[in-house]
Amino acid sequence: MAHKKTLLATAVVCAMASTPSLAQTDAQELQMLKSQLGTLLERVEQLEAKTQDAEARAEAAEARADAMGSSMAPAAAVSSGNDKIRVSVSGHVNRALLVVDDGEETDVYHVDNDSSSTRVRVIGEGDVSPALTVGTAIELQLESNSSFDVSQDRESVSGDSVSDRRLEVYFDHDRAGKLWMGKGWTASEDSSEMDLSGTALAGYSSTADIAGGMKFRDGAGMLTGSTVGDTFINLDGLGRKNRLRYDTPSFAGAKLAASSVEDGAWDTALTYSADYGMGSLASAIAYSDQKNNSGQLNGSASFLHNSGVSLTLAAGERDNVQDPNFVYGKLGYQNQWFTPGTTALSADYHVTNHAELRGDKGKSIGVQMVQNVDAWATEVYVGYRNYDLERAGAPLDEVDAVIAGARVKF
Amino acid sequence: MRIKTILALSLMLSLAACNGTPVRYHSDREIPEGPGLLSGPDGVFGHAPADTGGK
Repeated sequence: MAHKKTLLATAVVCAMASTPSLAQTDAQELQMLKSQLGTLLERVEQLEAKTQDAEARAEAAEARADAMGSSMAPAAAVSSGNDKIRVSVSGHVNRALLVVDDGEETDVYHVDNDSSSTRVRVIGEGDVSPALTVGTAIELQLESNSSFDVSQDRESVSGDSVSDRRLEVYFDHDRAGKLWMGKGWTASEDSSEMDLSGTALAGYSSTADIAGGMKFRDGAGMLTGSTVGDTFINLDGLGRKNRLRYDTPSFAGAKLAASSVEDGAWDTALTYSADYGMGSLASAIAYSDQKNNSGQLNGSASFLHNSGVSLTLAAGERDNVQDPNFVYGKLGYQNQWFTPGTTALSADYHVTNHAELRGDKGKSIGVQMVQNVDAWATEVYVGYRNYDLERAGAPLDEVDAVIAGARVKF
Repeated sequence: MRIKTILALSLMLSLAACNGTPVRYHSDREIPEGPGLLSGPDGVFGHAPADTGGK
């Protein structure tokens, strides 16, 4: 402190001495300069005191942080209590607004998008040997106002909105394959729904997901009993059921699976996913059999070129009284036009025959857009779809639906 | 019959192209892979199992 004062005084004296006019200054000017010098010295003392005070506070805070260090160490949000076991919790929330014009009225619905419903999952896994992993999966769906359930006369869906998607154990061996037991994906699940377009949230081969409960109106404008969900189908295997399932190990990307399902049903599927230099392919073909049919064959394939262009195709038919079938195609393009993340665009076309009644023909065209916001783990989407059901002798109004929402992975 | 033909051709095309590098398909409609808004870079709370989603 004394050193600084000396320097400052010396500087002022030097400045005064180097001024040619100083010799002529009178006592009044000298007094004024002395007064200014005194003010400056006071200000320096104040600043120095403040600096010392701030340094003392910082040191105290650092000491407190050190003392609490052991108790504040980062810890896993979920721990198993067993070092050999891995436990994880994950999930997402997917909410949307659905606007539907049924030819007579236009309504807005607040929905959970059934294309990828809100859910939470708990996975527990343990490596019981270098080659064998034992796992458990509990996955619950929390769907308030499913987009597949709301309708013109049911804008708010009552009842339980929590349901189980997976409740199972599995044994995964490097060379012997994987055995699943409990409720979960059957072998044929997703076999009509391979899709690399990046727009499945807003529209995919199960075109009814975004407005499945909507009823068609007849020529007089009255609601019929036929819904979008009844008449636009994609015959996607046996879905998620209680079953015993086995998957072979992957052979160059190909995998064969089979499951024995509750109520006497069974299925088998061959899946193949691979990456080529110019793009990647995902494909599946499945056969399933259950009580109400004599067999069902379905499959899908999706190719994503490195340029961002994608092509997705799906088809299937069921052998029963009505012999329903469908074909589906989607052309997509994805690119990172904006800083937040990839933008995916697509247009698709879906035709179903004999889905509810023999002779029914449903045609649906749609367009989709999904914008990824990577920093928020969020996808924002919008999709439009038209449903046109042709029924002999019964003219029906078309249904138009727009869904817009966001899925956030937490 | 038409659909069976399409499916059979698709399968043949897929298998004929079996010279690619195997990859694991993850459905866009399952819980997304990658970071989560709350769970951070791991995308899960706790320890991440190697393979939990899709077929």
